[in-house]
Amino acid sequence: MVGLSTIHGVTLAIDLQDVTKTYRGGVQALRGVSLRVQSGEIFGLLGPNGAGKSTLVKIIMTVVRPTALTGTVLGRPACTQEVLSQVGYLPEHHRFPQYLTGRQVVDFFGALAKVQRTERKARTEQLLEMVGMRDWGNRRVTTYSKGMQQRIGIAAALINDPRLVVLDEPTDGVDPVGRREIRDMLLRIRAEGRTVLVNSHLLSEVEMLADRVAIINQGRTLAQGTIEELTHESHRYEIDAIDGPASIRTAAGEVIGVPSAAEPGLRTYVIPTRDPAVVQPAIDALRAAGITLTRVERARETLEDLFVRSVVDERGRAMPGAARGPGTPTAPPIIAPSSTPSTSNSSAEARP
Amino acid sequence: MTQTLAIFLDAYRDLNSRKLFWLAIGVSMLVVVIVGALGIDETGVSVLTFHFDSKFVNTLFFPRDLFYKMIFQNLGINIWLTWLAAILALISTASVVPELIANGSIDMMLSKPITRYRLFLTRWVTGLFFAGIQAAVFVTASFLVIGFRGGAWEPGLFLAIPVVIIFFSYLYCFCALMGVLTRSTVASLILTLVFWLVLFGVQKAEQFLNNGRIGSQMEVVAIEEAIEKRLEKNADADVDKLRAELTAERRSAERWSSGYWPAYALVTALPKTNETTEWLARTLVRAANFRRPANEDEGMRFFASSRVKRKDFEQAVYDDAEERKGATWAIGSSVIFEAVMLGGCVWLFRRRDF
Repeated sequence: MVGLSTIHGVTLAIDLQDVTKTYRGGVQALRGVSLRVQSGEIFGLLGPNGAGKSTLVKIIMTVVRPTALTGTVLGRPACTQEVLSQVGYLPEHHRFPQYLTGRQVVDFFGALAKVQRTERKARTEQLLEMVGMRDWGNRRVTTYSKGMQQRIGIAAALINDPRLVVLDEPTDGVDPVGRREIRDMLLRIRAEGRTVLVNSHLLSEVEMLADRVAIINQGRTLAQGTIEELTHESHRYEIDAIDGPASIRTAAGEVIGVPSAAEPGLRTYVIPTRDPAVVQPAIDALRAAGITLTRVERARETLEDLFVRSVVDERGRAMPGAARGPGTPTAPPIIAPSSTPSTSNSSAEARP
Repeated sequence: MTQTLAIFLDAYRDLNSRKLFWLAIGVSMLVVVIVGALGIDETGVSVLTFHFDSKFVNTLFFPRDLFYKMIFQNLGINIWLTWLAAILALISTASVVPELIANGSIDMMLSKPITRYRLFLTRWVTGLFFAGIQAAVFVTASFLVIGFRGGAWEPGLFLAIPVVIIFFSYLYCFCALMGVLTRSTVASLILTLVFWLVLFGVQKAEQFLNNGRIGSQMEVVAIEEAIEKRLEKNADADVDKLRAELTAERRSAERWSSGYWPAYALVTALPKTNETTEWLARTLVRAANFRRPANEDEGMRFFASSRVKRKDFEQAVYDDAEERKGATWAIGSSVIFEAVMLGGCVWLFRRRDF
């Protein structure tokens, strides 16, 4: 796509580096966040409360002014007016004018996005249909449930036919059925070729939706990449055995068996590999010893595991007297290389 | 243009949804209908079919058109448009800025390709809509009443519409600044009403000091003339007494002047709500053949004396206002204050993180 940043041949819808934001009073919300969102993907922005996610989103949408920032959004300088006509946005705690109907809300924000009247009317109808609000479009937004307001918000975010859609907690306060419908909408939006940046607390949803994620904590990017890339090192085989020996030997070396957390009397061997060949000698050794195996399973971290580990690790590093020894260098953020085969050639993100 | 139209349409919908807007328009119309129901003839006044004889209120004292014009000026402008309706307009529009910058609302707005200063100023101007629509409805209806019932068609009357809007904008720019600073509708409304009260007080103080200054100067001139007359008649005994009075009055005139000019400077720097209304009243004399507004202020009697007649004193005050308190001073300097206030609003709005 002409005009967009590229890295390793991948076009980037958002390419931000070293975003910092210090609010008045010295509160540092962002301390050098970098974010690379590929064109046409759903990207999940994760982090605990107060991590700086919303500040980052607001900076992208020009609602908050960054203290420092370099980079582009849709190939144009970030945080400028010119890019906004191609971006759709649904803030976290949006408040639509109470005197407007759903249809008028969509139309109003379309007009503010400079969509011409004829096109606006047609798109409004099309979007109301898409979000399932066509029959409710002439009712005031005050009569809507939270889920209906979110749908109208998504329609309003799409009225200008944006290339990038930024959604801040789009399923917040929505019931499970509504959440699923919103997830389906986001998949449809991606299928139309748009890039979607989702800021959410709901890790399971992000895991279902997102092609790639970034984890932010205390104003820093802790991890960024596909879930597969970020959990790559956590791939393992787990073997549960009755009364197994204290240790077994595998191709990768000796593995210690520990009492199973799930069932007393079982011993669990965790072999950190994704290669089944490595596991076979262990299975053979156990069976040769007459041990009964109850489970052999390939496993990896869930997004929640990754999230918790990243955040807890970061907190541990931030706390004085944490488990690290004195002088231990701060670990670099977990940033996966681009999924494209070409080698990294430039940035801080190239760190393994 | 699409954006500006959308913001104006939104403002209209906002006003349309507020009961107070229609209440104010309804009361405006009611006031005009009541005035239209009044009649005047050689023997007195009538209300619908009821006639009341009067020796003082009849067409012998007031030509028919002047009767309606006086009501328009005294009731319509001085009380309704520049006090009661302005308060209703403030109550209705004080929320425009706080609601614009409320969390959730401002995020949606700022994420659109519209510059912050344009968004703010357009929204602010839509707030003037209220006063504008109200003034337009009232003045148009009054124009028709004066035309049909009074027999005088005075297009100059429509000058009242922009002047009332400008008058309202003095208060509304302050209200907007308070809205940006406090983010609270109630706080910005209360502070604006307090500000208006302060303006009223400062202008009244300036007018009082000006009356004292003019009255004292006229007294000095009158004593000087009296001394000259006495000297022509060689009445030396009276002259000594008058000279003593003259010295005392000159001191008094200096005191009035030294108090007046700082007050004048202060009023010059501030928006002039009273003075703008008074300028409109003076201008309607020329533009719509209104009668020169009578100064019914009882304080005028205080500045008159046996040497200075009240009528001459009132004429001097009027001439002084005509000479020094024209549109440039009354409106121009107020608009400068307004521009500074709005500049402050936009500066804060552009710099703020939401």
